[in-house]
Amino acid sequence: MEIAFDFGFLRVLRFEIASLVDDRRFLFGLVLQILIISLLVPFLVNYADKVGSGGNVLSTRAKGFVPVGFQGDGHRDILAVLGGFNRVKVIEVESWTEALEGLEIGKYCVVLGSIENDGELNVVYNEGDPRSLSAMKIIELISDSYMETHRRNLLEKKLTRRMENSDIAESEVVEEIEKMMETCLEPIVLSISTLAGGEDGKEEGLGEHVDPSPTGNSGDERIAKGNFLSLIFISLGLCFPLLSGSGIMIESITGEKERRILEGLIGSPVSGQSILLGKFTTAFVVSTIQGIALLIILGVVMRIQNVILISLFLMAVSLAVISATSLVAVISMGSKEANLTITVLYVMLFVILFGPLMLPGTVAWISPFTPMVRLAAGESLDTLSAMAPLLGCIIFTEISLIVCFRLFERDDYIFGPRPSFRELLVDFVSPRTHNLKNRATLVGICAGLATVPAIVFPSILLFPSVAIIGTLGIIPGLACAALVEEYFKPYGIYLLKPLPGRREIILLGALAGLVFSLIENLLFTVALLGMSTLGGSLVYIRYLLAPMLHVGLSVLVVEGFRRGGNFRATTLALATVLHALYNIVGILMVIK
Amino acid sequence: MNHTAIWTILTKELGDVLSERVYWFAFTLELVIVLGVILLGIAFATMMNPIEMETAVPRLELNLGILSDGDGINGSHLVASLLEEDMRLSVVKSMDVLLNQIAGGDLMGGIELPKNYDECSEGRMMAELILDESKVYSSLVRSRVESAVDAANEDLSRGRLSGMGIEERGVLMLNTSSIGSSVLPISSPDFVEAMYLMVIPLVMIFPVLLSANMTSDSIVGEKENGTLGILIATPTSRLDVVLGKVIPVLALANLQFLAWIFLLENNILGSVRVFNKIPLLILLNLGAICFIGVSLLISVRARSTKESNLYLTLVIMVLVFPLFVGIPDIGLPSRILESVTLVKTIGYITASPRMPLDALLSPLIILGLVGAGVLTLCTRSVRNLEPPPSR
Repeated sequence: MEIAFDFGFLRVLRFEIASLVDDRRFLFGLVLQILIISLLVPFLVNYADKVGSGGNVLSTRAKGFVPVGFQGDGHRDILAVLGGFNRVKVIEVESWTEALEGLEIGKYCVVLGSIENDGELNVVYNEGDPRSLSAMKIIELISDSYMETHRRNLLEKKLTRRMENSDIAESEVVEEIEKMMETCLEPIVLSISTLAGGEDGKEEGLGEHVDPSPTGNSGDERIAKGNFLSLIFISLGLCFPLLSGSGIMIESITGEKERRILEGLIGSPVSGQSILLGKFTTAFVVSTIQGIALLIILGVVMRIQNVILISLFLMAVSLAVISATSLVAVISMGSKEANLTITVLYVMLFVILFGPLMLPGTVAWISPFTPMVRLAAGESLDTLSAMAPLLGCIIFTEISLIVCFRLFERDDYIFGPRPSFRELLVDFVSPRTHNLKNRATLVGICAGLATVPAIVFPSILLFPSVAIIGTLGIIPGLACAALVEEYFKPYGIYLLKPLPGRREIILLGALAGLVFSLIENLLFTVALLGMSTLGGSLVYIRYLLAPMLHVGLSVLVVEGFRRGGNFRATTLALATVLHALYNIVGILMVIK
Repeated sequence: MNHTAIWTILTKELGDVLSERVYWFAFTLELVIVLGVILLGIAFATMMNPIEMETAVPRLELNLGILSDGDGINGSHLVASLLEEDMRLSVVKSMDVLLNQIAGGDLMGGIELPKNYDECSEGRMMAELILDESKVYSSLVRSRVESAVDAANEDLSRGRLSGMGIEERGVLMLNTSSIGSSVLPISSPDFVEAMYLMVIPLVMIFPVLLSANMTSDSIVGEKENGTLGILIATPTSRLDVVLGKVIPVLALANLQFLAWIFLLENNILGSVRVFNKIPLLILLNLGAICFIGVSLLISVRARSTKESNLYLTLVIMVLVFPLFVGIPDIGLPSRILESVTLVKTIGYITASPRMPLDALLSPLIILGLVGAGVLTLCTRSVRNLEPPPSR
């Protein structure tokens, strides 16, 4: 793919930067963003520290969450202890009847009734009130602690009397009493060792130490876990400048497209690629300056290490994110569409960038934030660990930009009406499919790639449907899988323009079914390798019946496509129904 | 107020949003996120106390190896407590065998007891639990063994105290009873707090943020496209313009509120009861009006979509982050801010079977006042708008 660069983009860059600098309010917003993030990140890190130190983070906003009714004159000490819990709101009640009435109507989730000078405390809780679980946990905690204190006092008195009559020196009495109390109150001491995670308790770990998280902290090291969370929050803060860059990109391409300014710009002597590159560079420069400024501030305040190396990774991520935004900006016809798409993109990016951080082992290295977190923690990286995410970002940027340049060259993407994705592909493949060999290659590639939507779409549907309607939710998932597979398998044939003759179409349809089936079986074998599920009649269904079914149904769908009109929908529906039935039979056999 | 004008603007705005396929995609994505967040809530509760999860699923029998060379374990309190915790016990004679069986998954864990383990002796006994943390069941084994050891300690401790002539009189005794039936899938206080103080507020705030996002370009977009002049030139009043922009977004937000409430109450992952739906919807609508109003205000004041988006991001950052991570205590302002923040109030309302008027009243009044103020400001700002100079 040939991309001709010229230095015209520098003129566009200069113009875009100058207009940004002229827009004082926007500049003020960018500076304000840095200041707000610099204030918010320490706030989040403080939260992370609380998590790390085992503090109940939810209790910070749970004040008075649990209303407890208390009736009677006894056990005032319990009342005082209960009142000391942040989330408990103790309300004294005049009579027990009033307390029970309050419990029934949800005024209290638990009521306590005590009788003066009596050890017993009546506790009634409302199981239908979720808050009663929190209240009961606190009451049980108090009860246990009360029991322990009581036992300690009794034991201490007894032992002190016994020691007074013995020969033990006075200085050793306290120590001896403590030892005897421990023996009496906790006769069995439990320590915990793990095969894979070092020690937790008094004894040493038995096995080799394995890093379960990217920072190398075991799950039980709470403070380290807190630090890890702090680093994630810092990374999150560093992501915000990317939003500014994306905003600039959307406004300067989709916005100008919407306002019909882009048409004039395209008509200027500067090439389309230079315009796009100039705008892209502007967005990149702005988010990089913001990101580095923020990194320096956070580096000083939060004592982050390896700031220079982190900024390198941040720039790589910035390139990838802004190039993805450029694609959205070029494709979108209006700001509303672009804003919604970009919101969806942010959610996906969030999952891609932060999700792997929580995963153990090498999977974590999918995210370029893993080396950033490692570096921020003061660790060193080997070349491979550093280069893999960097190269990934650069390759992604390059592919996105090439697609952007190609789309930007098309008038219909600038002036409308915007062509569909299929039309775009048809335009791309038409000049390259003059002979049967090329057509067969195209159909084969598309059939192989069809396994991607065949996995993704049904999975998206399966999760909510099973979550909402239970096991029966599998049925919509199976039906969706059948429809997606039948539609996408012969996708290569939809792209052929003009359509070849009947015999060739049937041949290509059969090829699509066969290739899809081969790839599907390959994935199936890899996924179930070594599992006992792969045996018996399932093997025949999977490896013999499935290819025949795929070939037959693909031929049916492409024949309908060739005939056109109502035949297209009818044959696709028929193939889907047959396929769904096959899926249901297969699932029933697996369950059996 | 011109109803026809409001209706025209409203249907146009609604049509604009609904015709976007991306909106429907965002809605589906939100659905998956909501379910993911519910799963996270369950994971949090399980992580905090794995044994509580067993209230929701059938109790499993766990294989545990005991490394002991004596007869002291026969009839011991520890073994009895372990059996009560549904442990299938097998005695192993060497550490190597025990470790291999744990690593191979034949045993889910092992306890090494000291030589000549004897509960009748007066000393302390050190027991070591060996686990393979790479196995998913390790935290469950750990919880059950800890419970068993606590129970054995309680029995032994009572016996030893009694042997020393200590009678436990005057101790606090709880006489516990209950009314009603559970509305939760897991009887865990951690689950309650994670769900009502984190997950439900988070899920309910999603539509509010999406609405604010959708409004951010409503006026500035018209400014940029040059259609604002036409809108201003029509006999439509400025209040009608504001209402026409706000109502459709609010209607969509309400559809999402209802969908998420339904989903929270009806899913097999972990259904939770949402109490006080009507007050909750009123509160959410007031909150949404405030957010949408602020977004509209930014849109009126901004000169470009990028400026509008930037300032909206800042507002969301400032308002949303502290809601979830708590507000630092700086006295009265913190308390006022905490009482009006949606997160805390949503948690209190949805968890209480009775409408908590004390928790609801002040947020409703303050949010109502803020919402009315923001909408008034919006109308005034729209009234002061001038058509942009022709280019």
